[in-house]
Amino acid sequence: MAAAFAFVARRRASLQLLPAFALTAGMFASAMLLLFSYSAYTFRGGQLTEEVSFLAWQKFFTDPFYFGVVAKTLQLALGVTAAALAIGYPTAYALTKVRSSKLLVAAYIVIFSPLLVSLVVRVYGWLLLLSDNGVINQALLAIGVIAEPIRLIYNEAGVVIALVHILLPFMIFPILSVLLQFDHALREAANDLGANRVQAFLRVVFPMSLPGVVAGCQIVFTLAISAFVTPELLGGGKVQVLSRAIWFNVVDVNWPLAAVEAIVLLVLALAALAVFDLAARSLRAMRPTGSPRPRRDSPGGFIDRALRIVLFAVLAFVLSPLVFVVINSFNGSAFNSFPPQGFSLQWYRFVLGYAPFREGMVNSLIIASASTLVAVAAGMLAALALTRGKVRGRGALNAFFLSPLVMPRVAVGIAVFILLIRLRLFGTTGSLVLVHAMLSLPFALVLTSFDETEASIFLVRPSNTTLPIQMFLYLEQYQNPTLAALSTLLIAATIILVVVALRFVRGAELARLVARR
Amino acid sequence: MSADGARASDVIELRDVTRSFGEVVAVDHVSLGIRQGEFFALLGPSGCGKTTTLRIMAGFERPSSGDVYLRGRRVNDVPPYRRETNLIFQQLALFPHMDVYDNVAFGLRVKRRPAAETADRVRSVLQLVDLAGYERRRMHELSGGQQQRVAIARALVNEPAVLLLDEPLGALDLKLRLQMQRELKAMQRRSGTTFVYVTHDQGEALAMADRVAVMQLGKIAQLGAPEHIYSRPATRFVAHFIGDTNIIPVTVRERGVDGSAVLEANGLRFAVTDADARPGETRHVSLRPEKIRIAAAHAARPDGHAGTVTDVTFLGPLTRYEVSVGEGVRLVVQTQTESEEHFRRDDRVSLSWAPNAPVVLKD
Ligand SMILES: Nc1ncnc2c1ncn2[C@@H]1O[C@H](COP(=O)(O)OP(=O)(O)OP(=O)(O)O)[C@@H](O)[C@H]1O
Ligand SMILES: [Mg+2]
Repeated sequence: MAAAFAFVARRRASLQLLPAFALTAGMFASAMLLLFSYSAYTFRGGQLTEEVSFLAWQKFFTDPFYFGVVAKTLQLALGVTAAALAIGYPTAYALTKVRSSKLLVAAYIVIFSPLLVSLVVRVYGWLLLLSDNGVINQALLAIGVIAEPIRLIYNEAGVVIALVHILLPFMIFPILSVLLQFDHALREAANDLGANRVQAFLRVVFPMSLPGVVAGCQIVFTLAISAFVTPELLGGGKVQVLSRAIWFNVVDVNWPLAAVEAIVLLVLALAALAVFDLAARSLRAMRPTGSPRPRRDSPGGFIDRALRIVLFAVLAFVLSPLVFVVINSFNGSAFNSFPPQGFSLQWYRFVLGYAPFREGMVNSLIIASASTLVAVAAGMLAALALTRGKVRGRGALNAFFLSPLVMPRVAVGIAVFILLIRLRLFGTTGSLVLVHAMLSLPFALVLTSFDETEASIFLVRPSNTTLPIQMFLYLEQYQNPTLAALSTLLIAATIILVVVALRFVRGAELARLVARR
Repeated sequence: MSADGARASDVIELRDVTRSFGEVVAVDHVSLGIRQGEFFALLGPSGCGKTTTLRIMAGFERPSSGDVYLRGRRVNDVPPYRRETNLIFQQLALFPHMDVYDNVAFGLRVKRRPAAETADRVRSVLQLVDLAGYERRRMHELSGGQQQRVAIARALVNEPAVLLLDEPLGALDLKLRLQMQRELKAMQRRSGTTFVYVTHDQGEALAMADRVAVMQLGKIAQLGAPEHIYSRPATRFVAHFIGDTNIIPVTVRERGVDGSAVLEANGLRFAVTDADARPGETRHVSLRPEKIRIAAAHAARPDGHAGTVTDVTFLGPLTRYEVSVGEGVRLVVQTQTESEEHFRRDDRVSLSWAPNAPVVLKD
């Protein structure tokens, strides 16, 4: 007995790391290795054979179609990153100027709300807004600006708009946190030396916020490069990016080619990460000499008013798809028409009666709660070992645990898909729980090691699970307010979840967490 | 007098300036003029409004009432970037993303000066602050004193009408502080720039300044040359803040036509040459410890006050006595250890001072 205790004490760190390691190695690393190996199999005549060849690689690198796909993928990601930066920077800057703490908290909640709502719900909201008979076109027609609907959707513009919407918080947050640490005395020093507000911004504030800009661009680019749902649903088949090519090849059972594409996507993502890391490193010398001091009131002017307008415009942009989803759920018409034709609860009745959704919802709940439990438990244990215990190779372990975050979701998805099929576990609830736990583990690890247990609420969101898959499939086939009703239910559930979670956080602590100043 | 009434000899002038933050009156009806080329110190304890006064001069705070003149021009509405002042911040506020050269060149570049002129002026100002050869260093590669000098160079290169310094040596250790005091003073003389120097260290103010304004609770308690403020403090606050002193509560007994008076404090009666007070008034007197002569009781002078030594502190070159005189008046006396007689606790002694040594204070 004593010997057993001694063993546990000696091996404590290793034992604490074990669950997280098993999860990441078993679900993620092995799946990725399996995926890599599939790229050397052969697909011939509509059949997958185990014959080793490099035909898939050859096809990918010789067929100009794939070159076009890679180019389109990069171009889309670049466009989204640039647009997110152009919107996100002024927004973050405007947020630092907000004095009223109520407005500040409200703005934070709005900006981060898309993260709490399922991807499919957000895409659906954009369909409602941007389609030919959607809100924007109907409004423009009504006031006579246009004679016939303009194409806002099923083209690249729609995809960029929706991706920017989804990724905006990831751009705003790093920039905001750098700007909040900015030493106000530096701006005053620039003013004192003859720089007006614009010059002080261009020569001091902006260059010093570059680390935040780089971090934001890094996250947004990496996520945009592998986006799948948005280009698939809003691109109208015209936005041919790598993630969609992977999807089609998986459906066609051309796994070798899908594997090659996934590897290419992975390499692109890693290369992007490396480039941004390099940029970040060259900025590292920029450490302020003094400690940041609270800002003093400066007289507001034209620029502050303009910033305020930008802020409200962005908040409206972020909120509008969600708002119109809720409005549309009560639409009397079956064609997502706008303005809504009468008030009706029929779509709610239909949602509750539609078996695939009901089952999806139950499954989602089970999988979401079980996988969150597993991820948080494993993540907390690992965080304990990594922060307190004496662990050799701490950096490498950390990188290993966080690696699923870096990999394009589509690549991870197909890898795990193949792995589960090979293990004959595909479709079992247990395997889904483990997959989701693996995907959530990096978040759990990051959150718990930063002692922000409150933020774990972000892990309990009802997305990423099978209900959104059902919605995705439904959205590909039908377009009526059923999804609006379902989405509204999901939004309501999320709000309840967040409110309940926030109940556990004292008000003051919340303000500190949110305001961080 | 210029057209709008400012004194032409003053580079910068505050006229009845008040600045309040809600309930707090940080600067309270302050009027002062700073002369071309002088080293002017604003001295006072923490929270007395020094920084606010300086920020009003630099243009970062607007006066709630009153006017600011810069070279005879009213500048209340002129923003900092259009004033010929430069401020050296307490935390220096050097730009960490630039090297020494770019920091110093910043002001000239935003003013779009020709590159050749900029290079020339940066080079000569770096020479002035003894930083030639450090052009490409980043801020974190410099010592505290070097960062200090970069801040000074970055301001001086603009040839400001007034250089405003907010406790610029506050963050340095004592040795570096003393060295930088000498260097700053030398730089000021060499460049001929007008300095307004904020400090809460009276030694620093006395050592460096041509004139000192002592601030208390947002007001100027006294303004004058350091020697004058030291030898003729106006109030108890100033007397206490500048150096060590005995403050004695007194009643005015007699007053002569020549301004002299006889004062009384707890059985202690003495004459002073200069007292702006009416008989019967109660006031306070400041008597510096080194102005008091101490002698053995048997060698007492006729104007001597008999007393008993209650405490002796040896301070190296100086010796400090506490002596009880009259009916329990405690006076601190300071003597030169080498050249004067020594006493011990409980020794009977006699204290005396010149009639111009005690200063009758306003309060
Ligand atoms: N922006 C502000 N808002 C509110 N109160 C302020 C502000 N700036 C200064 N004060 C108050 O005004 C008073 C004077 O402040 P100031 O900074 O001028 O003092 P100081 O003499 O420079 O003190 P220190 O030696 O501590 O730097 C203080 O009571 C301070 O709290
Ligand atoms: Mg101050």
